Amino acid sequence: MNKLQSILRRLPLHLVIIFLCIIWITPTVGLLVASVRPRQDVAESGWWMAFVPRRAVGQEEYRQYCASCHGKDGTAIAEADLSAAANIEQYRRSIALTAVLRRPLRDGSPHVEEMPDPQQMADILTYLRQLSGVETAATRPRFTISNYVDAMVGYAGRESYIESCVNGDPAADNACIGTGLTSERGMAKAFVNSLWVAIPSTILPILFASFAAYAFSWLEFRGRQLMFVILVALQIVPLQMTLIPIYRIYAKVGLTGTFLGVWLFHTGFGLPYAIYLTRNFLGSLPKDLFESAYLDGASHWTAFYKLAIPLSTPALASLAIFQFLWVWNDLLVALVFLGGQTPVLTWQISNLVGRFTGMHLLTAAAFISMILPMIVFFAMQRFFVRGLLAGSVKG
Amino acid sequence: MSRMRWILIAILVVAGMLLAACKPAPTPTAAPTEKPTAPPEAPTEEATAPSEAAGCMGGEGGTVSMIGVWSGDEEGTFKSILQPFLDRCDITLEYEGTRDLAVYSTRIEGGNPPDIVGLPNPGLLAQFKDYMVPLDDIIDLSQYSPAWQSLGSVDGTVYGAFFKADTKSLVWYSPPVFEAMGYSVPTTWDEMTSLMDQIVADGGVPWSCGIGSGDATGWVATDWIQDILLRTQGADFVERWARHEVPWTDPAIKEAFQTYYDICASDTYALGGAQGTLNTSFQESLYPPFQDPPQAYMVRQASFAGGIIGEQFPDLVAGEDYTFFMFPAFNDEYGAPMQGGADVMALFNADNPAAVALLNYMFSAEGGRALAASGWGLSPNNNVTADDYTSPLQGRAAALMNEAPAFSFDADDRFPGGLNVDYWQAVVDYLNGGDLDTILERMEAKANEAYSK
Amino acid sequence: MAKIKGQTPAIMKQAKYAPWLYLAPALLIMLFFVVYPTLNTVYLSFKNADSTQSAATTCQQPQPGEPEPPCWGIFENYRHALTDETMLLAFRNNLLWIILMVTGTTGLGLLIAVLVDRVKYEPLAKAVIFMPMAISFVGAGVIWEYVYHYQAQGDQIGLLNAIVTALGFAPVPWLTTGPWINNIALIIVGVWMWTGFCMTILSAALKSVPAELLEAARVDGASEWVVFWKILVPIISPTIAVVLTTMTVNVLKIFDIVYVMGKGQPDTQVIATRMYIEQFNKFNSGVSSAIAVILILAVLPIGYINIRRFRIQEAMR
Repeated sequence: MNKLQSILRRLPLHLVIIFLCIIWITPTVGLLVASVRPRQDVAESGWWMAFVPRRAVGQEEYRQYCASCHGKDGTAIAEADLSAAANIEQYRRSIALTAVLRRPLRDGSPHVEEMPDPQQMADILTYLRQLSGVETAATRPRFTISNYVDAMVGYAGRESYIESCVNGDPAADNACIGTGLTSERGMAKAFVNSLWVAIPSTILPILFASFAAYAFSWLEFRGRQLMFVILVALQIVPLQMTLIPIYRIYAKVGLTGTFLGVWLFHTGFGLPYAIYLTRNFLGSLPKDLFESAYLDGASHWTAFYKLAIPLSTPALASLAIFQFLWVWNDLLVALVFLGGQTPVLTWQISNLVGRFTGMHLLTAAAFISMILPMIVFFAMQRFFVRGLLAGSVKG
Repeated sequence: MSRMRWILIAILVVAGMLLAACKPAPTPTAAPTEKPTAPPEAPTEEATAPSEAAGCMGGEGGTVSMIGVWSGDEEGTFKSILQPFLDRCDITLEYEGTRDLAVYSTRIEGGNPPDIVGLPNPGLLAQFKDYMVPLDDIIDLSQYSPAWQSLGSVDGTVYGAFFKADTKSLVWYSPPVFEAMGYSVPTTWDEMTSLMDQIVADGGVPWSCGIGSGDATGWVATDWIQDILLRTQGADFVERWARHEVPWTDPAIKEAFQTYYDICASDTYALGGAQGTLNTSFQESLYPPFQDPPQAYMVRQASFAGGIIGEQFPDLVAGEDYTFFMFPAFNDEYGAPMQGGADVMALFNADNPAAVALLNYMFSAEGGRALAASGWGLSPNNNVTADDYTSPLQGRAAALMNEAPAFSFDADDRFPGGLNVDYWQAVVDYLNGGDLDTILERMEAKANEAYSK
Repeated sequence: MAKIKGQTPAIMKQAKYAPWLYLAPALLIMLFFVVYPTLNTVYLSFKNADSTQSAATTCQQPQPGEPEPPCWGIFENYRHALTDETMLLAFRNNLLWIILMVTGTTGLGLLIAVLVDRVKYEPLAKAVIFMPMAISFVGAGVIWEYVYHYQAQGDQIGLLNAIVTALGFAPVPWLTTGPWINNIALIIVGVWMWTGFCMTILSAALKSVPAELLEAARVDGASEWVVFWKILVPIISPTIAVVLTTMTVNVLKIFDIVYVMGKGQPDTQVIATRMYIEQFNKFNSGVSSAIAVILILAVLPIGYINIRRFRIQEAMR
């Protein structure tokens, strides 16, 4: 009885959480579903239609208007065999079929009693094209992984990579034997490049920021508060304004197109926020903690790495997640400072999408690039555990 | 690299240029396919002599860096056009495709530009002229009409050349649908208006007008307005307007805006009315005339539209199930001029012989024919004829371009100082119900600012 | 304030140079990557479009017979940045963004952090809310295109309009209906993307609140409502302030969402998109620098608020 009561009492809590989660995840689910649909489908119907069984288009209309003369399977009139591909092939659009229906039959009687409306005509033609085997597209699978294959191998052709391999006309740089995975336009190489950009660009700012934040929290020096205000203001410096002056210097010292240049840039831009966040966390630690360590003869250095760093793990963990994400999802810095010779994932994605085509690749590419950040998030979550400070708080 | 080698290379470049300048127009079959035997370091007397050197335009071996607007499948097509030349001359092309203007500005003004830059529009030439190499002495410009040369010029010096052009004054439609409905292709604006009314009377919607294009939303509408202006005021007027010698508040411009609005913001003439026009991307706007049953009957879009239609409807046959006619003339005086657009190429590093050679190839008759054969776009090169196009649609577009009484380059692509962005936003504002006089006055003020620099 | 002043904690005794050793790496890198470009920007904001002359030279010459055009001399770029019609619109939109998005993300983030703290599937629920953060802006643009897509007639591809039409209403062009619906539609995308950020930081702070403290209060009969407002919020208030500050800064320079999804609508432009257009479309580095400087100045009050908290915090610990 108590158990039931407690479940009932907690029911609203669960409902609210589940409701929020559903709202949050629905747009992404839409993208996920769209990414596994054939590209023509995506333009024609909403993603949820992927779960609605395809109705047998035109069957009903065919029965209503045609079956009485042409028979159920279309073969009743030999000279107008509707199940013969040769007879149906010429009608690519229903409007041509309409013209035939408008013409009277040889004996002068109208072809049909009552003309179907344009939508019905279109449906009848779709049915006939399937019946005669002209078209198999309507039976195309509802789900496909070809968007993912294309994104992985960096293939932005008119047809999908698999199709063009099956048809035997793959692009010059794809040999259809999986070598596409290592092609310079593929995602595999870009994935490695992205990692190589993101890891140092995450570690460096956090390392430097924790030093600086310790100084801001527990050391005394002139201009401490003024520098802190400047630090807050520096967070807003718009990235776009710094591109040209920094690039000018990079071009002179040869840092353009190098990983080092990108690491330093991300470090520089990550630092103001990293220091700000870490200082706020470190600063809120109880003073007694440091004073007692100090009285025990610990140096600042010991206090820093034995006390401050372990205690601020949750803050550093969340900082690491976000710095990693910003670098991982950054396009502009990679575009400008790294360029296409060492493409990162975002560069590869933006390059797959031409001005007129390739939106279907974005859906798959967005998911491929999401995988690692999600793993990082799950891995870091274990640092957010209650009670790191539990025993050491005064009072 | 030693001084001596630079001198040798310089001699090679000059020799190659001389050969390129007086060479007979090469036929594609005559092009040597084997790798040239003479490396750049070879003694000069021999290096200049063999015909292989001419086939390489004086630059063999080496790496060319390039930024351009083409990415995705367009990048693939572009590279495949150049590939035979690159292979034969052992040149490596490092190409990056992006439309982000920040990248162009940063690389160029930051002092480390790629060898060749394909700029998004010729209006940018003036901005970067201090960094570019004049092309007069570098490529054989005689193959390009004075009009194309002047489009690529800043203050009388040619800095930009046009590799791929698109014709814009085209109306795409479905011939089988027109035939079945008993519609005929209109050749005058009067015929067009009666066709539109006929379609409405038959219960259809004449136009699909979508203009959506991300942060560039609006350019489709500006193309429409230019087509109307070309037909009501003539190509000279448009030319003067592009140079801001006609104020934006001119009644003729206002009238063109209104003519556009009366069609594309109308619930009867345009699919979805003004909101349909604003919210439909220009890609999606190409589909309705070819859906079954058709949702609309016509869509005004450039020659590249065929590729998008073909991709969405793989079962339709180009030229039979979808094709285009010329946006009809309004009167006999101005006829139906052809509006066009093209991406402009500029050279930023004349010291790289391979880059000079590649540019020379792209702007040679051979390069133009390779583009024509790819079916990707039209070549502005005089030596490329309508017969060089393998795709029937591109051939027809090329023929229409030649037949047109005038060729008028997309005006907003030539506006200086980012005025094109203001123009796009102005048409969006207008379709959203903004007051036209206010919008045009604001455009005039912005134009005064942009042209005064 | 006087009470707080001068209470330097005893712990802060050290060799004179020690703090600078801790600060040096960060300061050097920031000097080069952030401070130098900022000073450069300030300098450029007083120059003309191509930074060759003083901004005062860009003033329009007075026409005979017409009233003298306004001119702020060397501050001419600032006149443009502060009085231009499109800029006023951008300021209005940024204000709307700040009001709705800062409160939206912080409020929802706190709510979710507190709620999921009590359930076993916390990691999963947090991952769901966090997920949008892992998506690039271009990807988010595509995702929301499938939500906001509008078709005047026929089957809707966009989820929202499919729901609206299923309920029997006319579809709504979300992204092009000004001046409020389109802005709010974009802000919702921002809230969707950034709530995970607020939740993560606030959740980390909640975890550092000692469980004993909460249990003690609950044993004393305090309701959850009281525990939340009287214990949790005061303890994590420094973190809430950090989140509010961070979000305000982020929202002030919001760029990508509008750039990717705004459909070029004039009335959804924000300060950063105007700055980008001035810099990279119009090549007017003077005006775009002035806009950037205004952005930096706009954050200074937040810096002041932070320093007050900074002092209080140090006095209390």
